Amino acid sequence: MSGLLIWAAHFFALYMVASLFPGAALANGLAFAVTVVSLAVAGWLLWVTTRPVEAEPNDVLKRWITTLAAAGNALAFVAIVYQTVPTVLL
Amino acid sequence: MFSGWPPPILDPAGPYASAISTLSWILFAMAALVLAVVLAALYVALFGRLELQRKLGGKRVIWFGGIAFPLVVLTGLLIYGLSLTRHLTDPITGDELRVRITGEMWWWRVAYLDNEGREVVHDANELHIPAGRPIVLELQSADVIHSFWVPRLSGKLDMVPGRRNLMRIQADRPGVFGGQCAEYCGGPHALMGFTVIAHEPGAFQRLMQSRLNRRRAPAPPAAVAGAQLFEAAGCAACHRIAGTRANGLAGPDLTHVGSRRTLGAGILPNNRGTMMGWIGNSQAIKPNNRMPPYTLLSSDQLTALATYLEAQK
Amino acid sequence: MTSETGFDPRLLERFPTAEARPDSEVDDLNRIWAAPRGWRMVTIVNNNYVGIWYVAAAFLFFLLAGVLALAIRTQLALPLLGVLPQETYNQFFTMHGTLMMFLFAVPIMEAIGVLLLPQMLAARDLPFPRLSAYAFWAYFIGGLCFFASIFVGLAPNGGWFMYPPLTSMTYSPGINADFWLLGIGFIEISAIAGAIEILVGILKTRAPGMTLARMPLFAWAMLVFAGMILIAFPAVILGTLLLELERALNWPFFDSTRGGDPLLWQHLFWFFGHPEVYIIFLPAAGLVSMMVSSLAKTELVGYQLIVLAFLATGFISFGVWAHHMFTTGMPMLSVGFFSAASMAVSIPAGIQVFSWIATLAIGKPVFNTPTLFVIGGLVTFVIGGLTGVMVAMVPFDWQVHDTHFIVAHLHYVLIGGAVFPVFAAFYYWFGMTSRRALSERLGKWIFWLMFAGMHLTFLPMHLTGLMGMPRRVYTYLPGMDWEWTNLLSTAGAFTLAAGVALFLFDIARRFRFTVEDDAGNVYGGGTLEWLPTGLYSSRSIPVVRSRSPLWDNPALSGEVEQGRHFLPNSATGLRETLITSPIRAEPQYLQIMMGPSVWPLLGAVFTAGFFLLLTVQAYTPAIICLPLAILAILRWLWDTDRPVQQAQVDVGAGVMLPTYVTGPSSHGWWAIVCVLVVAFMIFLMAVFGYLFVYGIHPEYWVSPGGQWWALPIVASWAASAVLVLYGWRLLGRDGSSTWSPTAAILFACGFAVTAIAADWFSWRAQGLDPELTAQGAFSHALLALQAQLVAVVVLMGGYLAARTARGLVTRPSNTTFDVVSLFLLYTAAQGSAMALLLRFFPGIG
Repeated sequence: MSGLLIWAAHFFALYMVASLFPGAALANGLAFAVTVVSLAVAGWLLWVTTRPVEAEPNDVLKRWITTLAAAGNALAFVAIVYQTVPTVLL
Repeated sequence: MFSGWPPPILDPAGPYASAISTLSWILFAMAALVLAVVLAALYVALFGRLELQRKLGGKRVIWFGGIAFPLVVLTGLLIYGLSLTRHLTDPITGDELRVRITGEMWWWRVAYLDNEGREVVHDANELHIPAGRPIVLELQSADVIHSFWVPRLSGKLDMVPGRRNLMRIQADRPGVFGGQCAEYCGGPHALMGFTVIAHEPGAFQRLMQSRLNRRRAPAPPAAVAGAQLFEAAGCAACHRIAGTRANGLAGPDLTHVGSRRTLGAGILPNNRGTMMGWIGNSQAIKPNNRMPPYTLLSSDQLTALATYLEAQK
Repeated sequence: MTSETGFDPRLLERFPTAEARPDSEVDDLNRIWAAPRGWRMVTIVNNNYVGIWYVAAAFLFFLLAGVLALAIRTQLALPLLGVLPQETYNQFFTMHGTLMMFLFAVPIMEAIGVLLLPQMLAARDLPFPRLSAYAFWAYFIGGLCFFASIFVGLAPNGGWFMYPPLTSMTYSPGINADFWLLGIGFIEISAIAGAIEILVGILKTRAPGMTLARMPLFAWAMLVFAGMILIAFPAVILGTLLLELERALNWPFFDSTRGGDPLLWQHLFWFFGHPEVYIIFLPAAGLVSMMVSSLAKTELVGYQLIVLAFLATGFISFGVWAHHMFTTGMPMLSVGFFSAASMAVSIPAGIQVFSWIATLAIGKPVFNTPTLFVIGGLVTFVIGGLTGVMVAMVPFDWQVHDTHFIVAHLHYVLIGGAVFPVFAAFYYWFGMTSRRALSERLGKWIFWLMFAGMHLTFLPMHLTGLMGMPRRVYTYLPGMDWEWTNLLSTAGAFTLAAGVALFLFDIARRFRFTVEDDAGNVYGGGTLEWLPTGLYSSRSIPVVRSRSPLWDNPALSGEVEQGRHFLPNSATGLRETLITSPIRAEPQYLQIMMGPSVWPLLGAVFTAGFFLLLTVQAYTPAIICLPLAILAILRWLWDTDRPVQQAQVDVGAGVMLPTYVTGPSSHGWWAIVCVLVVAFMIFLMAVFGYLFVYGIHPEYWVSPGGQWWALPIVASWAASAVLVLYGWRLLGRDGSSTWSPTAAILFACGFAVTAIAADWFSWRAQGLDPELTAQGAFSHALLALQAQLVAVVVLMGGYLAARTARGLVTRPSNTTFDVVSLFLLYTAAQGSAMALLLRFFPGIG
């Protein structure tokens, strides 16, 4: 769930930035900075969760959960990118 | 006035509405395409040949159909939609003609502003604009939330108490465009219409000039009785007619009521009969509106009032 | 193999045991789980009964709301009809939306959860059966009284979204709006109670071996559903509370003339309102995922992706609320974010749709009634989703927002995404609770009538919207070209109603309630709810080794029936179920469950009485109801948390489990944590409101002064917290008197009261008037919230003292003690945060 949590944090950070500085160019810049950080974290998580799990090759459940987390991270990555499109275009 | 066919959203009369109309068609095409893909897949899944079904029955289909395909479509749409949003909300430069429109339960107060932002001409339920140039509307509310919407000219924007929302509309050519309140505002919300009339720029200038320089013309003889009755019956407590002692602000300004196309906020054509009916018992026409019925007035009195109001051009 | 709890997974290999167990144990189970008869049936708490009552009640509200819809459609069939006068129409459409969303859609999902989950997870019952009963009764009584307001013309008329200022005292002086605020606020509390029950049930009472990766998808969906309710519903509870305070006490939260802001309500409402749509959709998607697999007779393709989709939907749905507010003039950048999130949320939906299609493709679906409803729902939902993507495009939304296009869109989503799946589920699971299955022949008629009716109603309605017809209009003028599409819609509505009426007829004909000799697994499902069951669910609790255990092990039913799995008997002679760990479902302990009781019912009656009497301004009876409700609830709790004689029992095959566990692995601990999450969300929303109105109208704000007051207040809270921790330690230490830990808690309560009293007096001294500005209103509202917590804390202290006096507090640890302590700690934390925020946020002056 970590990836999705980062999406949530990113989203609310963006929302706050946009509400606090309506219409300011500063808002776009700040939002962009938040995004870069979030993407870095999400990317790192993606890398961690997609590394092959060697310790417990037999633990089916653990593998299952790790794959789920990886997919979640990937999705969060896309969602964060989406979330940033407005800062570039608006 | 308002007509539903062709659908006003798809029959734009100005640049703002027409950009959205184009977007609408693109969206319809997108929806049709995606629906066709899903239905085709569903058809194959249920009735298709076995080898096709095999191909469809795997995780790859989810990755392709459920993730990649929507991702491409959505990304395209998102970029297009947001660019359009930006284009439609370009910063307001400030030298446009400004009109302040206030939503009231259940009609619209209209005030044309001069360059300093002072209200110079008052009207209600009807907006005159010059064709071919953008007009900025200052939208606000006197009571509850309303929403201003003239679909052939632009999308809608809410009128929120305590806030002032700015909106731009533009008509390319002269014409008459219907609008209505789009946010539920209680009671007769259904009967809260609006009319925008676009003129040739010259004609608009002349209209505004005449209203700005309006001197109270001596009432035509037929209207004298009505003028007296207007004060005697208490109309003036709520309505204003510039240049007379009638100065009420609760109800619509009647200075130009004779020239309006509609009565009761866009619900009746404006003629002597409907005017008499409205004054006599507007509650039967638009239940729960704020104007009390005047059933005690005789038909002669109603005629006199209607004649007087007709003269207020 | 790894373990989560230290439980040796090899113990699971002992099952099924070699020998069948004696039949006398089944008689014991039957006796222990027997339901009271006659008028005592109202004291039943077993999920088989409560579940079916719950479903029936929710369906009743569906029918009532449907009748309102027919009246609405009749009125709109032609211009200027007089079937419903303006005021009646406004009440009808408000009630239609409110009933469908609050009294049908969410409750029916909870109801299906209460009915199906224990069987699906092979638990004997949900972990808090009396809480389910309370939630049901509160909902049923509250809902009926709420609905009755329409017969006396006092039904709310401000729309199901209740936007102020239209719903403020100035513009809605009648008590209609209060019915909505108090009625719905109360029903939300019942929904939260149900959600806690479901969440803890799914995480803690699964059959051994049913790891997260083997859980039925409905359980996954309900898990996300319950989590979302805990996060989303507090927003609307706070909103209704603030609006009611504004109406009753003239505190201006939403009044822009005194520094409030009407848009705050919209934020609070839609922060709940949009997740609500997914709260409705997810359980239905869970049901569909299970049915698709059974009906196509194959494992679901992409189980893991669907789980991902559920989780992602749960998260992203909290980032889309403001797409209901694109036309309010929000800053463009925010609008852009919400637009992007609204589009992103359709990706999980795409995953689900294609997973179902892929499953249908490799399977061999038979065209029976549930299949038809599933496919019909899928097609309908896809169309609704596509129009949803359209309205996520901001400029397009500017045009169609609040028109009939949206009405069409939302009905496509909700009928396709929830109603058709629920009807499919009615057919599919009907055999579980009825002696006779529903008619397939009539079923096809019903489906086609409903499907055709639905599309006939709502497909033309898209065009009505594009033609400019706004929503929530009680009539329209002739000459607007809206007649023919409206007429089509009305015809469609009656076709749809005919389908539903036929369904009712078939139910009346075929439904014979039973638990034992039911019609059974008509559609060949492979999950545990199709094990042979009694009121105690399955005779023994099977070890789960795959996602469709009945398909993978056809002998399982027999094994379970012969008692060759876990808990083939009642080990303690009481109602009990197996508590397992949340991830790997390893057996942890045996929970003793509560039996029938009249107290949940009485508690619900008095709670409903309190809220409803408050609405009709009968203050004295209302005030009398409140302590009665509290007493009833405490009385029901009094029976709980009673350890039994045997500390360890054999739950089958020699596996020994404790019968009493405290601390983080106990179900009570989980429940109180859920309650605290709700409390925290309410607080968070209040803080959001506080900051939000400050951001809109800072000119109304002053520095409150007297910052030094924060010091004694926070110190009191800290003392309270320290005492709680000390009490905890005392409880674990032998030798001290029984009373000393409780005394520590009581002193902690005392400090809590001191803190809130000091806070209160300091505000009185400052003279910040709650009626004058939004700042005053919010400060007092936050104080009131905190005072509410303190009141609960004091009650809890008294309750704990009473239990101590009766020697019910066990050592070295005790669940009641834990619950009270956690609650106190949270109260102290929130109190300190609030004291600091109110004094320092607007600036020191």
